[in-house]
Amino acid sequence: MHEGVDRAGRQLYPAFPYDHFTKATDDDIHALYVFLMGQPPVPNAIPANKLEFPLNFRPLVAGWKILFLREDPLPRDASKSPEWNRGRYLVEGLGHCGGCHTPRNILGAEEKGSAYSGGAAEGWQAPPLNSKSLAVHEWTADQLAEYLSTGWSRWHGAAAGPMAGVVNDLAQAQSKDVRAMATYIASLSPQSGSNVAAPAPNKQVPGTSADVIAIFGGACANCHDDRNDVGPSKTVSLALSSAVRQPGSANAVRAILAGIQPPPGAPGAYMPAFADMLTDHQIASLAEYVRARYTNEPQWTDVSQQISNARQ
Amino acid sequence: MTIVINVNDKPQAIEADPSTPLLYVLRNELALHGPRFGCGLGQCGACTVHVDGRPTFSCLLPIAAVGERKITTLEGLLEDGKPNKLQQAFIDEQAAQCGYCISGMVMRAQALLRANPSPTDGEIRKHMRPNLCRCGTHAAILRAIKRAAAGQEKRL
Repeated sequence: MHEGVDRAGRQLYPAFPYDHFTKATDDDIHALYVFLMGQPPVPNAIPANKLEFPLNFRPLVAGWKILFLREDPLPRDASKSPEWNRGRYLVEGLGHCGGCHTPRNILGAEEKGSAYSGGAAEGWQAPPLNSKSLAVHEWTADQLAEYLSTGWSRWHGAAAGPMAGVVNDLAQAQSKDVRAMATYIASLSPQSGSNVAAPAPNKQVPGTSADVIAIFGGACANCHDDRNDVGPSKTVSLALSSAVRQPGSANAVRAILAGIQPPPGAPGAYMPAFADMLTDHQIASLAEYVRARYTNEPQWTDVSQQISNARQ
Repeated sequence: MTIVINVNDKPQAIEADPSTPLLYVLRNELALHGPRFGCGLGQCGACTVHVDGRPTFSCLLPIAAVGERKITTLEGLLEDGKPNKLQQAFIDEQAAQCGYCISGMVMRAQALLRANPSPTDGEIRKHMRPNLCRCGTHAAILRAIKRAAAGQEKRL
């Protein structure tokens, strides 16, 4: 966990995020060990490494580590509250949020100078959490705490894609720890959102075909009805939606195709999957329509590509 | 505005607003009362029909989006006017109380059996998840689906 080597001393690939786990205390790692070793053992044949040469040469990872692994623990910041410090310990360490939310360089390491400027995970975009945040309303610690433990915020939308798994797990974490993480993350984006001009409600989008307007009206508008603050199935206005505001269309396209599920066995936000209902062309037109109608940002240029990526 | 859609293998010319959900057109314009309105939000499955054989919420599919795709309703599963194997299995198991969810259940199950003629119990339950029943008829519905699946197996 600290050094990124296995029992035999071989290098581990940093896909296992020991560049974050290295910040965990010995006590926490010990507790994890006790928990894991208490689980029933299962037989598992580990698959062979299929990386292309030279990546399959493990000793090269030692070079990566010299460049990018910092094993020193996080120093306390005495100017900040204990809650902030706890949050930073969790977020930078075991939480490894930067693993998705920070861009990576050509060697696959997080760009420390651009921490939390946004990244990617499993085809989805992980939005920026720092001053580059595109949210209409600044994420407060309260909103983040609600979002991280329930997967929904009235001001931003629902968690989807890999983040849905994260919030489902955080729902089981102690609320004071989630609160601490929220406090730390909120501190990364002070004063964001204050300069964003939201588009007018019922903004017309010239050049939209009648078909697309009809499809939006019949397939989307029952829930995404701007007359409601919070619509059926916990919809929030698309003008506030994180997915619609990202520079790329991946999140919006994937939400349309696969829908959004509530947490297992619990109530929550829901969106049907339109993958079988609408054609790629219809989904592309809808995505572009939503982008134009609900934001004043430049139109997406990657919609068809994102649909085809998501369909694979 | 007239839109032509293919329903149960017949082209139908529909005069309706293009944003009208398919469900209303099937029930009102075409008098096909199999699919039903339960929620209008894609959450209950009472409106389930097939679009090119795939189970779909017809409450959320505007007719403007249908295009050339073929729509099949409960009525379209009949063979020579008689219930098909799955429909007969529902009748034989008396798998209905109020009956409101059943059309959707049959459509959802039919798609499963076409793709997987001998599903396990787990596969049936997982596949049927999008369809809700408020009367608690689930056990009978599952028996009906298994009965139809077993029947298909024997035929092979």
